[in-house]
Amino acid sequence: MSVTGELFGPLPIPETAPPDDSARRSVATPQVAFLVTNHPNLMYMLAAGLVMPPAGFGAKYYRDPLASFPGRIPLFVGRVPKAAIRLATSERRHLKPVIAEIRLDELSGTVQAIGPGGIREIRFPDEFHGAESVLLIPAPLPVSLIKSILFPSPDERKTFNETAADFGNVPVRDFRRGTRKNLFAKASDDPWPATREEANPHVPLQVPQAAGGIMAMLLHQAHRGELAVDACRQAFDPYNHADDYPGALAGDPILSALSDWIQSGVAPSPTHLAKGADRENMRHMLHQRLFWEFVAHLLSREHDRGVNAEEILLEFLHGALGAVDERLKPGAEKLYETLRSLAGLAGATPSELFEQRQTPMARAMILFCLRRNCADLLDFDHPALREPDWLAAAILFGARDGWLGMPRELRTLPGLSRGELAAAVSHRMARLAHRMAGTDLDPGPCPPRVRPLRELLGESDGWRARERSAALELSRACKWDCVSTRVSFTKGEYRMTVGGGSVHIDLPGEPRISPKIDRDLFFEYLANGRVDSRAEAKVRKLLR
Amino acid sequence: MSGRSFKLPGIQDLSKDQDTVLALPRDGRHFIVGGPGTGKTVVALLRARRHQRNGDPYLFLVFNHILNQASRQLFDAELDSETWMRWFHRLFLKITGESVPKHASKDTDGFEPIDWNRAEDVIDAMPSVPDFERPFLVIDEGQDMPPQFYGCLVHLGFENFFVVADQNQQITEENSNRADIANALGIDANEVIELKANHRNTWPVARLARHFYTGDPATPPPDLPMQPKDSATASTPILYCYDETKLDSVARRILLTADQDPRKLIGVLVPNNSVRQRYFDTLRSVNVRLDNPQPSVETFHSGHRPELAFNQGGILIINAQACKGLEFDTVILADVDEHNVRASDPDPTKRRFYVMVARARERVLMLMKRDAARVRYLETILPADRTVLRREEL
Repeated sequence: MSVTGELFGPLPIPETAPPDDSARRSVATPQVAFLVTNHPNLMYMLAAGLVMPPAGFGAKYYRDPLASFPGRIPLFVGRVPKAAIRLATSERRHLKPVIAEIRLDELSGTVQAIGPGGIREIRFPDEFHGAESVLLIPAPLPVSLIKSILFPSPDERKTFNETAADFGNVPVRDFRRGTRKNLFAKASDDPWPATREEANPHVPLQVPQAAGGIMAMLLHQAHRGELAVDACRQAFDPYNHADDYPGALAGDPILSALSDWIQSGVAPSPTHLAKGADRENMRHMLHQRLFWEFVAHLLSREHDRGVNAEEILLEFLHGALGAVDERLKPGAEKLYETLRSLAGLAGATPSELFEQRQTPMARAMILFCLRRNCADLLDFDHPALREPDWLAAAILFGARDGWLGMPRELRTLPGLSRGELAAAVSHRMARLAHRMAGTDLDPGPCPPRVRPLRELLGESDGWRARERSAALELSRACKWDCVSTRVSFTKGEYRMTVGGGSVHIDLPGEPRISPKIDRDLFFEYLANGRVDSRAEAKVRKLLR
Repeated sequence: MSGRSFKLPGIQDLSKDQDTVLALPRDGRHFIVGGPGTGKTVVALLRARRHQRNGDPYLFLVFNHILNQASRQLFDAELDSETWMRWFHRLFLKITGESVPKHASKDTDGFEPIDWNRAEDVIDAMPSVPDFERPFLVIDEGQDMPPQFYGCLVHLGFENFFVVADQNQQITEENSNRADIANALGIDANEVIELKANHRNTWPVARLARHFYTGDPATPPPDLPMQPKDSATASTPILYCYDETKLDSVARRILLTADQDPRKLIGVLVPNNSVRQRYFDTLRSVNVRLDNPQPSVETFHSGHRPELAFNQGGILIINAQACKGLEFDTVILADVDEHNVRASDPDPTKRRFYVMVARARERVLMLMKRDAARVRYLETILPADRTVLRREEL
């Protein structure tokens, strides 16, 4: 079968060299398989970054083959059954079928397969015989494994594109779309579901979604400083050992636990305080505990639509106050009262609130109540807020919105290739879900993380020519006055003329012109200023 | 700042019923009903946006000037919109060569209502309807247009209608009920799509609105959002009692509330013009130190049509009757003690409160003068349950 229609856009992930496992992949091993679903379900999955079971859709799930084996993704090898297509469009009259072509070439692990003898568990790809018609893959899968999206007709492809354009977070342009009429017209008469598995394994999805949101938000805040760059790196590729932490990160009550959380999705355990523990240490541990326990509480309440996240914060703090050490309780109670007061007529300006509450946890929680979503936070600025405050807020906001809640403009950065950030995030979300569920599924090599501009420019041992050019380019475009220029003349006499509003110096030969960038000032501008998006795109290309 | 401009919804933000509406064919007659906050205007704007993307001729019709301003400003591209009456007058003149027939004014304001019977006679008497471009009509708050309006348009050969309406929010005498619109457009009862899920209000706001719901089975009230575990929540709407001589201090608190997020729009909804003017003057004159520049404080009343910035934050003070169809981040019901409550029939006042409360996306605050003379009448319609409406002294 060949794709007969127009295909748009590049593959969603940058191609990386596959591991050399050709020996264990038999000739019969399928390179792709098909997921049968309907338009809205597929759009939802593209927005969420994960191919996932019905539980991940909240109230927006439309019955389709994903419900046949809850917790598993049924992928058809070769022909798809008509019955599966019918099931995918059975819930409402307006539903249209669609098939996602999923790449299997780098996927491995224990899966179930439906073949002539029924369902059996196999190690994929080694134990795949070739007679199996369906693979039941433990959910979720990253959407970066979608090779293309296939429609029965150009009209249905057009309808899909039009509907997706009504939403702010469905990144259809990151994916190839085409028409493959025969896949639908020549569907098999095989029954679906052929058999049923009763077990409904829990698939962790909220924590990976939150992790995706946190990755994106820390990337968007990574211009703020070195600590922000380290936090962003940790969110994407966490350190395995606490010893690896840079000092500043290890000393921050919230960021020091990020690595553990992003690897396990579990809040750090409350640490028993030794008698005589100093007050600062106690406060450090209290803030770490309250912050990450709140993240967990927030995620556990994700489906409470209509309940403000601020409400959930207050509910959590109210419940947590009882367990706070008496010595620290007055501060925690004050924070609770401050946050509670934000629900009524205000009595203070944001400056006064930040003046009253100076820890990153408190300030992040105040911001959490004052701003509605990630885009709002990124639009906000305040001179009193410091780098750790912004990062703590980025984590709370990223957890609240999740990757699903990210509008299209926050799913990329100027100068990245289409779908580059989404692929990096979706793959990591899927890996986290499988780590939490304890499966051995490996979706394949992880796309490299996206490096923030500050990291690309911020080599500690000084700038090389390429970085210097990039910094100059950025300073010029953003009109940052951190550049000075020395013009070196050779010895001689020069004629100076004034005309046309300028001073001209005529001299023999070519003077040496050396622009010099005040690095500290440059990074200060980068931390606090707005970067022109065209300039950022250009600079990223220069630094690639 | 344009923080309040229309943002495309996330796929998770629309209900399955809204998906069904979005999947309706481009042509034909479609009728959608739903209570406040069920996302009727969102689907209407998305419909208009789709027409715009396709290059279709379309027109977004609204009831009044204020809704026209709000719709245009919230749309992310230029919206082809008009108030229905202005558009209909022009259309009638163009097609028939005559002005729209009117009844003599009965009001002191000189408003002359359309004589719909004569208008229909004029159209019927035309030997043939001339050929002219008939745009796709997207009609918001369709219950506020009279049934004959729809009848005339059908007579004039309009084919494509997309009407959203809520019978519980009628504000005119000449309005249409659900059956009127469906009959005029020739739509079967089972083809009317009902939107039920509440997308705008939080649970505490929705619950307060529900308290004022008087009931009309033609448009069911929106489903309540999921109840929080603890029903006594921090964002429970608050009724503040204040000393009448200290309106300055109330105004300062309102300005501080606006300063916490200058992109948010606060609607101060008042019972009458004298309260509107008092709040407007005080909010404009009071001094308070803020982080941001003084928020915009605007007002609107009949006969006065300033350009209001619905796509920006600030404070908008309007009469209760003018708030329908609008949406605010915070709603402050000012001097609620001055609303008339008829002991024999409190329902009209309850309906007004229902509409006002349902305008709020995030929070509702009420202000009442301490020891006001008419409080006892008002108390008959306010919830006694403190978990529905908390009471505080200012």
